[in-house]
Amino acid sequence: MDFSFLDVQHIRMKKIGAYALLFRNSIAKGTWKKYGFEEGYEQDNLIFSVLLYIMEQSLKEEICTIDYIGNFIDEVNSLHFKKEMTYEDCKELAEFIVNTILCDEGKAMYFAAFNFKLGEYESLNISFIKNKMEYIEGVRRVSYSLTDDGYSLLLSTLEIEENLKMTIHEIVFKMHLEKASYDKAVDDIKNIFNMLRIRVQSMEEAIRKIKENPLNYSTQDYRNMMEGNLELLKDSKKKFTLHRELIEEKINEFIEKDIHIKELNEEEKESLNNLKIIENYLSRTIDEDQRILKKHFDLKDIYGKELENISKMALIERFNFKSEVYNKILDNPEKLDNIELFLRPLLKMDPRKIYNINKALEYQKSINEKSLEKDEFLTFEEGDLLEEENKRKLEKLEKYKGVIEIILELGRERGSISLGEINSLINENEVLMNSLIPSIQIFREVIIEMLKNRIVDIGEIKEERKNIVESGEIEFQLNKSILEILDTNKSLKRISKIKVEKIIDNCDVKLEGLKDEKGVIRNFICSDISFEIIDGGFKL
Amino acid sequence: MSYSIDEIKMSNKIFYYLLKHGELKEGESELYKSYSENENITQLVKEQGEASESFVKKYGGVVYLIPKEENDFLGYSKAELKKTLCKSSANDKDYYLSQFVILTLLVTFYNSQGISSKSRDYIKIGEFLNIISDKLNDGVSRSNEENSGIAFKNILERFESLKSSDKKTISKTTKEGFINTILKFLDDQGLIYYIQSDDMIKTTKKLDSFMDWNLLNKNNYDRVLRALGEEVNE
Repeated sequence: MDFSFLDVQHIRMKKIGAYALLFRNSIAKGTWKKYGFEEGYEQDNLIFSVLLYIMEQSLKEEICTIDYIGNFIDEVNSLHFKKEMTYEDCKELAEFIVNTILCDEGKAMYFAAFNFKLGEYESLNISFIKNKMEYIEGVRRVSYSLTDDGYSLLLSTLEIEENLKMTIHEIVFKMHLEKASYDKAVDDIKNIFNMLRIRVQSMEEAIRKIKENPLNYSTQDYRNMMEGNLELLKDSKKKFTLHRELIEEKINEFIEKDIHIKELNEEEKESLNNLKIIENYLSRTIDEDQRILKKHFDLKDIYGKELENISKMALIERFNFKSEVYNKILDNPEKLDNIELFLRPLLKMDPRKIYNINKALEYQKSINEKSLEKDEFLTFEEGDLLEEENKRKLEKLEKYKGVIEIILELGRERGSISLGEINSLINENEVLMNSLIPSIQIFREVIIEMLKNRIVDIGEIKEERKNIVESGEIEFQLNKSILEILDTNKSLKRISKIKVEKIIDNCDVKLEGLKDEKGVIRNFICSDISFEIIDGGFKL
Repeated sequence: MSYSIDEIKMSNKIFYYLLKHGELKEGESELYKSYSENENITQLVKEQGEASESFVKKYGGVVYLIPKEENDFLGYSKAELKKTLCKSSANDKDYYLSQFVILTLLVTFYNSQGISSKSRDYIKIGEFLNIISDKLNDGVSRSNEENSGIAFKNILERFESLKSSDKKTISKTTKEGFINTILKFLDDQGLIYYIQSDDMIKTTKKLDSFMDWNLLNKNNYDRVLRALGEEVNE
């Protein structure tokens, strides 16, 4: 019998393998029961809705952390599944689905497919989602997105095969347009747009893979990708532009009608609306088309370059880590004694610093209380709070800048202003007060720094800063803050000098109802101060 | 062979950059280009590396400065490693445990015989702690520990005497805390991404390259033999 119908079995098995692995990872896991998902079908439905959610986020190119997935499960559950789960449970369940079922704890997943041409099993690597480190509000988080396999699994549940798919969608889209069923055409164009975006992402994924290890990316993959791209790009732009023209025409027809009859019925209004959506998506589709073209050449470049890089390395043979090293140590712990020798190439020390005695002759600035406080904080909390700490420092720095900015603005309007005048202004306006005096400590520090300097000559400090090497530390420096404000606030650009003086003759100013750092409300009595702002000539 | 003064100047610049940053990527276009495209400069930088008891190697499009094993100035000596990984009051058991932890981390990630040695994408901290326990137990049952100075039994005892905690903590008396110090160190060295909010460890491209092309390279097998205290067959 002719078995040629089995020739492509291993290709089909990739799809089957995806399902098989997914269910194998999920079946007979006790964790499901904990959350009330007793039946297999309940579990499968949830897995696929989570996958679809991840696809949605991937398509939008938005971040998708475990928290997001947890939220999604929470919402879906409260609307539809109605299991008794708290928000925390939902997050744990999200973690379980992503980590255990979709990623198999991070282990590479393989499915053996029988290749009838070669007469042996072939190992197919399958992964559904990939993850990436992202900074969200300064905190490291892991964000998940679909891989090519993931997309192909999900698309095969509803949509059809790659390049063919585009053409079919387009035909359907055209048919719907002709029949003027615009609501359906909206879905079609969305699909087309999504498909182009998936293409872009799969090229990005290929670039990432190649950068990681070019040998993981086979020439067959490369060829398929390149040919697919060319196929896709052939006249696609022309086609979409034509579509767009057609749509514009239709919209114009409606608009003209609008002028003539003034009134459209509900159905027509909706059609017009749909047409506008279609037009919008068509423009985006054309953009995406451009992106594909660009990525196409990127990929080509990178593949060539990385292959060249690797060609020198490809001949290197490796020994078996486990049997040659690890197991020997398990057999004899004595061997741990000098194992650091093996690890040494990985680690690099920071060289010892050399003290330059000239530093002793430099102008010494007093280390103020605050930075002392912070140093202590770091020594017992270690570096992991550093990011958070820096964020807090930056926020504080912004407050300092806010104070200076308001003084400069008020001063510039009037030429000069005294603290007494400022006081009467802020008594009337609470918003102004909060930004001028976020806390007594900050306000005081700014005023003291200003009084210390007496005259700030912008030209001079600009010159000065050119010669300063940034230490990278986040701390309050009056001159630096002033320059930054002048850079960002256009109305203050022309300021050339700032004079700050105590006014000895005036009576003391009483600032009332101020908050200190702990939020306790206090009054504050101080001598009056004048702020004089001098504008320079026009600058180029 | 003769070198121009410009080439020597450029090679000095590149080497100083490497000293400062440990690696040179494509982003530093002037230095990177000079290193990659001018053979004389490549040669000069490599010579400077040699004179500083280091290798200068290019893996996967990044130039690295790699201290040789005997280099105690740029590399970590055993004493310094101990100081960094275990902090003040540590004894030898702590140190051996830390070495075992690093080794276990590496073997968990790089145990493939495929095109790359990398065998997994990430590992969760919880699973990693379990693997360490299992492997230590494995060691206890496998090794013959009657007359040896270092015993898995002691190391395991040390590890198990650390409390386990559900909460994220950095106190060194817990397993999580002990591991935390080590992972932080590896993260600082640019070898792993330690993502604490998600309890996850991922490896960097640097570590992938180093494992594939250097540590597990058959040409460097002698280093393994020396580290394990076995005969080196020249």
